[in-house]
Amino acid sequence: MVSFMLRRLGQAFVVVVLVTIIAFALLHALPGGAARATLGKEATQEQIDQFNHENGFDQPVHVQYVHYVGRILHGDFGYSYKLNQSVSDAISQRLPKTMILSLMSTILAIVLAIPLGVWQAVRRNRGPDYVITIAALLAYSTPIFFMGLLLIILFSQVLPILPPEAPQGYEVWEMFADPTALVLPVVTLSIVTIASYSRYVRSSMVDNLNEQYVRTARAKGLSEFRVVFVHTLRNALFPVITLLGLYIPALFSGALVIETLFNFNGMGLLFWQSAQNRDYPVLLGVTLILAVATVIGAVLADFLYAVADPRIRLAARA
Amino acid sequence: MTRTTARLGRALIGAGLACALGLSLAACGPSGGQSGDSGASGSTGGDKVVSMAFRTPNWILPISAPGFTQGENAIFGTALYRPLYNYKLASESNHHIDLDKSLGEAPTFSEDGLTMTIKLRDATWSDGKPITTRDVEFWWNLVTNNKDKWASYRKGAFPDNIAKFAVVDEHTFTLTTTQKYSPGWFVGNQLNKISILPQHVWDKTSADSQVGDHDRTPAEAVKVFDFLTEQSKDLSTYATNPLWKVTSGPWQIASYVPNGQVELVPSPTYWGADKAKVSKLVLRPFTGDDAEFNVLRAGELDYGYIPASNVSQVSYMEGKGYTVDPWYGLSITYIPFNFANPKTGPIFKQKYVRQAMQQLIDQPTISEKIWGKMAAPTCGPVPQPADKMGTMDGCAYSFDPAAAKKLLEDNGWTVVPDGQTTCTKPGTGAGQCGADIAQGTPLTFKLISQSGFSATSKMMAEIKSQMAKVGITLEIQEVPDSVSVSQKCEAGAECAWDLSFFGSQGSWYFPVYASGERLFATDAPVNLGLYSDAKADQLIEASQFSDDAAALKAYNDYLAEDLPVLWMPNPVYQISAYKKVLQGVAPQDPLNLMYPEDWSWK
Repeated sequence: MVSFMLRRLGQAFVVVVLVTIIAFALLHALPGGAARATLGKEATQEQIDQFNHENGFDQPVHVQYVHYVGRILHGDFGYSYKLNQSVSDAISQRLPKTMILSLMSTILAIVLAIPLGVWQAVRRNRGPDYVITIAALLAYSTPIFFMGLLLIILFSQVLPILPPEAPQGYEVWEMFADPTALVLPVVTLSIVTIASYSRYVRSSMVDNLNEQYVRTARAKGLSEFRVVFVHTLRNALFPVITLLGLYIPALFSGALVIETLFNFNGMGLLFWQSAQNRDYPVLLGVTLILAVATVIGAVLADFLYAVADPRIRLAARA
Repeated sequence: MTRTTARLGRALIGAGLACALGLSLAACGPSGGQSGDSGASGSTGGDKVVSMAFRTPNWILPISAPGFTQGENAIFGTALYRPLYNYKLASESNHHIDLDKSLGEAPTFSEDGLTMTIKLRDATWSDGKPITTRDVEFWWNLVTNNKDKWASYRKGAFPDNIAKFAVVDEHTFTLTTTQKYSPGWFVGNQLNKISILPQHVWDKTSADSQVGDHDRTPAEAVKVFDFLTEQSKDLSTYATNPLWKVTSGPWQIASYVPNGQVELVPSPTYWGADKAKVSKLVLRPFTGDDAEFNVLRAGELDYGYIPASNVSQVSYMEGKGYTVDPWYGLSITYIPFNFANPKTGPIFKQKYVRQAMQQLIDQPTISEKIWGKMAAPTCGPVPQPADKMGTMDGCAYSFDPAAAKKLLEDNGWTVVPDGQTTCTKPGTGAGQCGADIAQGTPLTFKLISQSGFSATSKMMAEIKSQMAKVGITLEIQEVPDSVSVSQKCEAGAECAWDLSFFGSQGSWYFPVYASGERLFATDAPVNLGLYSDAKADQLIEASQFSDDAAALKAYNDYLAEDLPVLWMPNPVYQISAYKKVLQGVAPQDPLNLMYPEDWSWK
């Protein structure tokens, strides 16, 4: 188990390094440049040259990369020449709030999706199952932007009972100053997840309910509750565990559509605006964090799967 | 299905409903969303707070820094620090100076036109100290010793064009120029750069050092500038730093959240007559147009804007108690031709081609149908006066596809409607295509346009369609930042663009005096297509240096006809929407500054 995890961590480290190299190369291959995007069309060539020199853009790309890695190792992610903030400040201002919003929507999704999926499985191929399936497919195929807009029009304008924007404010605790402001963004963000997770749970539960061990459990006279929730659900949740691990990057990356719709200044928007502005230090900082989050998510998914399913460990030893 | 399973199903439904109910209960609370007390606007008869959509300013030092010259910083700056001159384009005052909002009186010129004498008004800093020429000198010393760090600096322009700066007394100083300039140009486009800084508070090299005459030594002036710049980079202290507590404008910072909400309150010791009439100004940033418009529609903003994509909602917003007021800027919109492109440059150098292309752009229709009347035709390099806005008065070319087709045919091109028009009569004689245009050359051009603007995409589609009718093929490539990928082509470097559009919010915004030395003069910094014409240079120079008031008109008339670029519909700067009970907002400043101190509740 330990060697399995060490091997996965080693692979993860290589992936992160490769991501930073690729991101660095791609950014510098973009047409136009940071200087023009930052200084605007009025900037003179002298100003452009000065900007490039001050930011090291007049050096070869590999030299820039080595410098960048050196700075990161000293905890310096650079300075945003558009936000007038250090990258660390820009990210630390947004990341906690983004994670709170994403976590809340994930928790809501799990709380609703698992019971829904289980219920559909045990009542499969009946009226309610069909209704929920159609609803899930509808929710899954509706663009999140449209869904959010619909909710805003309904609950902020037609029935003005909820604020049309996410909580504002600088500090993390201010997220909870007005809980009603969390409702629409959290619900909008979780709808698609509820739809997809409930489908996974249903499908996995249906597969497992047809297994022989379930029949054995019932034959032993166990209660239906124990059969479903103790024996079947544990096995049925394996795909969801993997999904949750892979969902970890989303906790960090934020959701651009939700952020632009609900006026939530989060990581998704930071990344988008930085891309628009060619704000390389911020782009690289966010990319690095997302790369780390992604590999951590993947490693965590492997780990949880291995914990939950002993056969994985056996396969690793084989 | 067993009974147990049925019970389980019901239990699960119950659990789901409980979760949903929990959400509903949370949703039944009072509507929040208004941060601070901005919701209590004058429209509801509450206190006199005004909440407005406004990007978070991120530069406070009133010396512009590269990368931080956005409009929000200029508005924020002038709210806190009055410059030497603010301008009111509509006023008949001397050089359009808005005296109420300026620290200086109108300059007087010496007989030789070289020396300007400027008197300061009786004004004070917020700490009660008088504003004097020492404060002007302080600014002068900082910028002249730190030109490379000042965003407004252009080699050869201000302050390089000043031979002598001299303090006469506490309230009078003189500027002597290196040569005679057009007074209109100099006052409008050069003196607008002068800020006045509180020397008695800011003249220090570190937070702990004593205030002194550091600025009078070049090396120390650099240290002072660096210190102030460093302080301006510390966003989190904008509301608390003692440096920024001393202001000369009608507002002071009450609170500041980096990338978030900013609250301004009236300066209790403001010296001017235009004191703020509301108790607080809440500047609320938005992550995008949709977020802003949702909040505006919910009635939670006193001043906001209708995104161009929602122009159809104008009457709805008016019904919700808002005044909708298109904000026209002193701007022009255009598509540069890339005269330096080795392949297509020779084609663009033929004036008849430019004329034909211009005649295929139906500016009035595009402005009305695509921009929803929120754009007006551009006729030439000088923006149209307000009374002619929206008309084609002064345009040398109207929409005329037949004339465009004839022009091409008369000059050696075989026009194939909806096909490929090619040069069939190469040569430089009458009726031939022109120099360096080979037999069979097609009229196919790559147009770099802006992505993210639906009206722009529609407009390009319309123009492409019209051009196709005379066999001109436009290959439109949309990119987020079209300026970056359509820079001047240097000799030997790759040159891939033919035409470029970056005017979804106007291509170019002018200061008071709309001259073209930065746009259309040979080697001008923003002459992306490298247009070069001796007569145009001469007229541009005349508008800059001569005191003949007709010089600007002569320059405009010539370039309007010569077509250094394709003139395009000029979109409004913003479709503003503000509560009907909020007065003093109109007329909105064509120079794109805002003066909320003039706003009040009915």
